[in-house]
Amino acid sequence: MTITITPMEPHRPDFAGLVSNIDLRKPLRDPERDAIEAGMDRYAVLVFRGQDITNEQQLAFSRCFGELEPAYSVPGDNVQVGRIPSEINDVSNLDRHNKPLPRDDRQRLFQLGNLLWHSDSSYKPVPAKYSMLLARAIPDRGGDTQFADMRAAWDTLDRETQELVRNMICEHSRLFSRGELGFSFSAEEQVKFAPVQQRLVRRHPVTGRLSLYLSSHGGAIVGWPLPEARALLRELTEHATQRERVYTHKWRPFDMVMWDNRVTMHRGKRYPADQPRDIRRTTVMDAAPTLQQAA
Amino acid sequence: MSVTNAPHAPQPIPLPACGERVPRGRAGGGSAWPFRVEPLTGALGAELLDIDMARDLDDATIAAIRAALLEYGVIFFREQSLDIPRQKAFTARFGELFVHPNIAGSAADPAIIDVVRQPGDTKIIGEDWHSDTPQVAQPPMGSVLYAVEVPPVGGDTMWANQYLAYDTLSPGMKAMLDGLRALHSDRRVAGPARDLAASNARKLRRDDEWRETASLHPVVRTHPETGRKALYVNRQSTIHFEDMTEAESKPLLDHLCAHAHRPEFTCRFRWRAGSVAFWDNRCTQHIAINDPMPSRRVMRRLQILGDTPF
Repeated sequence: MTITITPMEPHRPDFAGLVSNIDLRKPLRDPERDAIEAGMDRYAVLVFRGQDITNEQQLAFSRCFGELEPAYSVPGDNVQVGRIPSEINDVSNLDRHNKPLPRDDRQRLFQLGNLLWHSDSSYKPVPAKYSMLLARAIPDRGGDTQFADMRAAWDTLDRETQELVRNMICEHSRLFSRGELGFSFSAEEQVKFAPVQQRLVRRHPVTGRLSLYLSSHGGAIVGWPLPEARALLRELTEHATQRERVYTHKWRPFDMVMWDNRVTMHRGKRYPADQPRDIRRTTVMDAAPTLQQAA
Repeated sequence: MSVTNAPHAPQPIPLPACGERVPRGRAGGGSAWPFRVEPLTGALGAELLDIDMARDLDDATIAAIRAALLEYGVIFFREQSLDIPRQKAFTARFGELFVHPNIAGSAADPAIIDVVRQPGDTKIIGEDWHSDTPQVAQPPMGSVLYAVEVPPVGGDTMWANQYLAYDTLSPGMKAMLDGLRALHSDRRVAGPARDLAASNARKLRRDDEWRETASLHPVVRTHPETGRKALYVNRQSTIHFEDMTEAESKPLLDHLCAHAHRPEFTCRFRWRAGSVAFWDNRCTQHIAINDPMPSRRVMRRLQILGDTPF
């Protein structure tokens, strides 16, 4: 059987695809890799069902698409350290003994930033290209992941707004996204989380389509007064995340979902804090800072 | 005898420069274009503004774009957001898609030609004056070229108006070329001697499997839509006149090919990412400027089926 990719939802022919006839426990062959890349170019989000793979197999698959990001470090006691290998981002709510984190754990609270619409690592100078998220254990309710099509967000902006934002440069930092949730930061963290600049409108290097590059990490626009910038970014985010442009993924155990951070935003949905949710992310870095990319 | 032109001086350029019809945009009368039109030069080329090619354009807009193409020879669009399906959908509004006989298209789609220049490439596709694919019996009527990634400077493209090239020939030369045909071949651009970097385009055949494609076409062709005559020889593909040797043909061919792209017949387009050029391959030639430039350049081309030149 050869790999096939079809739309997850018939009414959305070019956003969110389902990949069939592939076993990620086996090394990826070149034609499969090419088909997945072409599928990512078309659908931006791909779902692989029933992939009971090891951490090593997830890493091997992810490396086929580029250099991996090191996992982020969450400020705090790092009670998760050692649970899984360091190149895999632990997006679970578990400590290293696989017990749900206490409700007031700073690491848990920091991760609640995932509930805000964002693009992975937009706060890094070279942000993320692809993310691969594997679900090993999921709560009995809640915890969906939603994806917004930022190509469609650009296409559906009115022309005047398109011209307004076309060459805008934003500042991204976890200070902004976590600040939104009420975090305050030590002097050391404020230095560590210093904002980076990203284009607001990007051009996909293969398809040539434009898209909006928004993220909850984005909190300022170069040359704009802060309140006006925040209001515009909020308006654009609301525009981008309207229901008709959003795919909601309801997890099953051993689903792997892969998305292109250059052309999507995503957010996790709330779930009961006392239920284990073991979800692991690998992240492929983009080729260059967005300011250096043709747009 | 009265000498109106010095022997080596070209015939004066007739007005209007482009299409036979009175240009709508410049004559004042008649219906105006449904979009803004900014001509590039007096010879040919115009930017069409306020068109989003990604949208499902209505028939009237498509008809106006076609009229602009016929009038200006090459039309340009800026700031577009096209992926392959969108570029195909737009192009297919103007005719059936042409599949190039000698260049392998993208793996997914034989109609798509990726024109890629990598840093360090010394030879590029289309670096001499040419019209597209004249070695086949029915060359494409036009091409739609989309810039995905371009360097900040360099890598421009020039076009030359072949109506003007014909119109400015002397009556004696016009009479001599009447009825003459020439052989066009891909031997210079695609033959084994041609050392194109592998990254520029994927040749369909390896060198040892390469077979020449060649066709005879009139030296002066009549445009099937405007009815105007255009010079139809170029340095890249034209080998010799029918029933003459290459040596016999060369002096006159050299003259005509050099005449074909005199500066006053041309325009030059500076690309940006998202720019599109759509040219009429029946009445223009073009050249990709191979200036020193260290950056990558990624273009995506689609061609439209044409008819037999007459």
